[in-house]
Amino acid sequence: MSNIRNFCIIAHIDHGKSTLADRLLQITGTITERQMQEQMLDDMDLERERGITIKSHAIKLNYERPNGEKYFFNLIDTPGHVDFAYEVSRALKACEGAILVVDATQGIEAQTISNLYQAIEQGLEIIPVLNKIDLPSSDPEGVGQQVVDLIGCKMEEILHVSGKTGEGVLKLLETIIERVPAPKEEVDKPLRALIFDSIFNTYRGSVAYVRVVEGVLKKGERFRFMSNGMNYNAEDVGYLRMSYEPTQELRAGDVGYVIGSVKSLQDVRVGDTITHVKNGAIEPIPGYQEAKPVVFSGMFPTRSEDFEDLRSALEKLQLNDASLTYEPETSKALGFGFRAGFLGLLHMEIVQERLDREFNIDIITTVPNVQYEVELEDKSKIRVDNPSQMPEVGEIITILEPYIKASIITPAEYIGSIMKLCQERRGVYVNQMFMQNNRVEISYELPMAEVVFDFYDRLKSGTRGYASLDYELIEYRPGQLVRLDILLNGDQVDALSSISHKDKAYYQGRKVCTKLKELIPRQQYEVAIQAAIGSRIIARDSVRALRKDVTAKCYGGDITRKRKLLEKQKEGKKRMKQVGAVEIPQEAFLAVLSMDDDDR
Amino acid sequence: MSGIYIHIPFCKQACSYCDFYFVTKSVQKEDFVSSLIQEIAALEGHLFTEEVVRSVYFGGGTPSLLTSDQLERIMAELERVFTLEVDELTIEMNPDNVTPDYLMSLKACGFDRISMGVQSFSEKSLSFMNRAHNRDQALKALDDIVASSFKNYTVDLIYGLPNQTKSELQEDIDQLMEFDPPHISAYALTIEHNTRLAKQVELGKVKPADDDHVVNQMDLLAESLKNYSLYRYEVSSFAKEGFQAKHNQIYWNHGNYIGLGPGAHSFWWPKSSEEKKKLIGDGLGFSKGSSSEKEVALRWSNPKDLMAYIHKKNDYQQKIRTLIEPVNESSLAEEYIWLGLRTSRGFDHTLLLDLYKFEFNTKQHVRLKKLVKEGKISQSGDRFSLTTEGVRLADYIALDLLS
Repeated sequence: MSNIRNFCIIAHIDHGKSTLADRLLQITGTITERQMQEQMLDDMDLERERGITIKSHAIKLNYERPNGEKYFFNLIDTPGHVDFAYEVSRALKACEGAILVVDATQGIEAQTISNLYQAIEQGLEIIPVLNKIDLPSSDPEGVGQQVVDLIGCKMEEILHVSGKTGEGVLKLLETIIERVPAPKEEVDKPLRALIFDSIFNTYRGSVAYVRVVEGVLKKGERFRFMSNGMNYNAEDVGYLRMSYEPTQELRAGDVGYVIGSVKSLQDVRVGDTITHVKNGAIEPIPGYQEAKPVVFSGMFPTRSEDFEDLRSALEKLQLNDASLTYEPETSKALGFGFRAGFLGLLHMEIVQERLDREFNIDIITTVPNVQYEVELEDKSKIRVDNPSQMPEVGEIITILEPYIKASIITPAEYIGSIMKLCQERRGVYVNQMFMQNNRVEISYELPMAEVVFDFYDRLKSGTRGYASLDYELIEYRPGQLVRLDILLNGDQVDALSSISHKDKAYYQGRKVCTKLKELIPRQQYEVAIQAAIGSRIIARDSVRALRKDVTAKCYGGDITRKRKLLEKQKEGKKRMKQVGAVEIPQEAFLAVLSMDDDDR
Repeated sequence: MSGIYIHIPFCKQACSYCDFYFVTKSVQKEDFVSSLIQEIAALEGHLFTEEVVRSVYFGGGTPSLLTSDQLERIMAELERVFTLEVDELTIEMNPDNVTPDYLMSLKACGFDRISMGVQSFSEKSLSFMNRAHNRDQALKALDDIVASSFKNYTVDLIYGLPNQTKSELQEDIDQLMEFDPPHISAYALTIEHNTRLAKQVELGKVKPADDDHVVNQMDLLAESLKNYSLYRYEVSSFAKEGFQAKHNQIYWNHGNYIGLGPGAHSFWWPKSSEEKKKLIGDGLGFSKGSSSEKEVALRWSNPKDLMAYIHKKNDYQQKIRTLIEPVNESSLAEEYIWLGLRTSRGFDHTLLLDLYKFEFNTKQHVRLKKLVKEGKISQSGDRFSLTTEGVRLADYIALDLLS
C-alpha cells in the first residue's frame, strides 16, 4: 500500500490545472503522445467548459521512480466553482494530499483560498506549486510570498513548474511521493468507501467513483448505500484509467469505480458511504449532506407543446447531475413548466445552456431567486422559493432572506468600484486585508438575492476581470422585502412577480413598466401596465389601442407575400402568452426577465 | 374565365416607395417587346389558353413608355393565342406620358380603361416620392383624359406621407374631384423593403407618419369620397356604381390569371382532375406523392430579371420552375377569407364550406361572434364583411380570426 498516493489539484480557473494534469498524464505514460494530441484537441474544444466542469473526475497514473520503484497515483480532479463547494469537499476527502497550483503571473484567487482552507481542515498535505514560470510576466518572488503568507510554508518548499514546457514536473512527482502520506492500510475493518463522484452511463447505469477508506470490496459482493439503505451487487469494480480497468477487488486506499446496475443517479449520492450488506460498517464516513438548492428559477417552454420534451430533458440532465431538482409549475402567463433548484448561479446557467444545446429546447427562465423564510401572522413559518407564492402583505410578520459572506480578492485599484457595487447590493462591510502584490481581500455580508442576479458579471466588468469571488451561506436575516407584482389591465402576470427590497421596488417597478410599454404590441384595446406592492400601485404606463393594421395594396403578387406573413404571424401568435385579454410576445418576457441591473 | 397581367418593367425614374420590378434604362424596350411576344406565343395550345380571357391589364413599371405600335403588336399576339372576350382592358399611365394623340391610339388598340398614377397634386409630396411628374402635368393629363373618349378610368392617390397634414390631403381630394373620376385607388404610404424610402427611414432621414394620424386621413378620405358617390369596395379602392375594377376582382376572388413579363405573378386553380393532370404533365408545380392531394392551386412568378428574360430564355424558364408554389386547400380557404374581408363582398360562409371545404373551429366561431358584437364585422345572412371601423384593422382581424 505504501506505493499509492492519492491527491488532488486545487487551482483557480485559468491557472493551468488542465495543462499541468495533462503533463502528468503524459510524463507517467498514462497516455501516449498520440493520445495526448487528441486529448489536447478535445481540451481546446472543451476549454470553456473546463472552467465550469461540474463533475470531478479521477484517473490512476503509474509512475516509476529513477531508482526503479513503482508507484500508483490517483489524481482526483475537483470542480472549480463555488457552486460546487460540497462536491469539492468530498473530493478532498478522498485524498491525502493536495497540490496547490497558483499562477505565478497572477497570484492567489478567492476560490483557491476557500478550497485550500477546506483541504487544510481535512488534514491534507499541501504541496504549493507556482505554475507558468516559463512566462516572462511570472513573479515567483511576489506570488511565492503570497503563498508563504497563506499557508505558512517555507519559500524553498514551493515548487516552480511549467505545465506548458514540463519543467519541474518530475520534481513534482517525486515530491508527491516524499510528502503526501500513503493511505492507511485498514483492510481488516468493515468496508467503508466514500462516493466522491458519480456519472450515468446509458448502458451500465449509474457508476460510483469511490475511495475505499477501510476494508475491501470484491467483485460480485452485495453492497449498500448507507444514506438510503439500497442494496446492489457489485457487478463490476475497477480502476479509473483512460477507460475503466476492471479488477477483482478494491482495497482500502484504492480509488476506483463500482457498477451495480443502479438505474437512477439519485441513488448514488456524492458524499454517501458504500458498505457491505453483510457485516457492514455501522457508521458512515461523516460529513454526508444532501445537496440543497439555493437558487431557484421557473423554466417554461416557449412553445407549450414542448412541455413533455422539457420534462424528459430535465430527467436526462438529472441522471448526470443529481444536484438538479425540479418540480412542475403552472404559470398563468407562461403555461406549464418547471420550477428548478440549483446549487448556484453557474449551475443554473449550465443547465440552461445544456437544455438549449443538447436538447434544443427554447425556454423562458424567470428571474432567479433565493428561498425565503416567511413568518406568518398565525405564527407558522413557511419557505417560499417562488415570488408568486409569497403570501399577501397582511399575512406576513417577517420575511427572512439568506445572507452570504462574500470574499473578494482584487487588485487594490478596484476597491472603490467593488465597495460601490456591494453597497448598492445592500452589502454590509466586514473587513479588508491587504495581501502581497498590491492585492486586497474584501469581505462583505450580502443578501444572497442581491448576488444571484448578475453580481458576478458586474464584479468582473468593474475590475476588468481581475476580481475573484468566493462565498458561503451564513444565515437568514429579516429584510424589508416586498413582493412586486406586475399587472396588465388589472390581471397579475405571475411570471413577472419578484421579491424586492422596499427601497428598490419603486425604481424597479417603473423600469419594468417602461420596458413592457416598449415591447407589448398595440392591441385592440388600451393595455394598462401597472406595478404594485399588494394593492398599492407604485408605477403605471399604458400601451395605446391599435388604430390601424391593414395592408394598403393587395394585387396578384402581394397575395403570396401576405399569406406567408399571415402564416408567420399565426406562428408568432401561438407563441404569445395570454394574460387576461392581453397578448404578450415572448420577447417581452425575455426582455423583462433578462433586464440587467442598470435596467432594473 | 381568366385574366392576363402584363408587366412592363420600364420607368423614367425610381419612385422612392415603389417595390415593383422595373429598370430605368429604356434602350431594351424593343427587345423586351419581342421577348414578351415570344412568351405569349409559347403558350399556344396550353391549358392556360383554354379559358376565355375577360380582362387584360398592362401594369408596371410604366406601360405608357411603350409606343402604341408596340402595344398593338402585343395585343395582336394575345388575340392570336388566347380567346379574348374582354370586359376590361386597362393600361397604367403616368401623367408625363399623356397626350391626346397617345390616348386616341390606345383607344384604337382596344384599351377601355386607364389607370393614372397621379399620387398627389402637391409639388412637395410629389418630390418627396420622387415622382417623375409635377402638378401641372397631372392636371393636364386628367384634362386630356376627361376630354378623350375614355369614360372609364381610375386615379391613384397616396396619402399618409410623413408630415402630410389633413388639409393637404383634403386639397388633393378636392383637386381630384374637380375631374369627377369614376374610380380612385387611394393607398396609405407603405414602407416596403428594398426601397429608397425604407433606406431613408432606416437612416432616420424620414420619420413615418404616426398610425393615428394615418387613420384620421383614412377616415377623411372615405367620408369625402362618399360625397362624390365614390364608395369603398376594397381597402384602397373607391368607385361609382358599375365602375369597380374587374381585373382586381379576379385577384381577390381566386379567378385564374396569367402574368407575363419579368416579375409578373400568376395563379391557376385547375377546376378538374384532368386540368390538374395536364399541369403536372407539364412538369408544373404540384409536389409529388401524397401531399399533392391537398394541393389544389398554383401560384408562381416570373423572375425579376429583364436581361435573362431577353437573352437567356432557357435559364429564365428554369428559374420560373423554382418560383412555383403549390397552395393547399386550407391556405386557399384562408386566402378567400382575408381577401374577402378586404372587400365589401366579405366572405360567404356557405361558399366557404362548399367551395373550400373549410369550417371555422369552435374558437374561431367564438371570435367571429365577438367581432360581430364589437362592430368590427357586420353579418347579413351567411355573409360577413368588415365595417368601416373593421377595415382599419383588417390584417389584425384576419389574424385574429384565422389563428
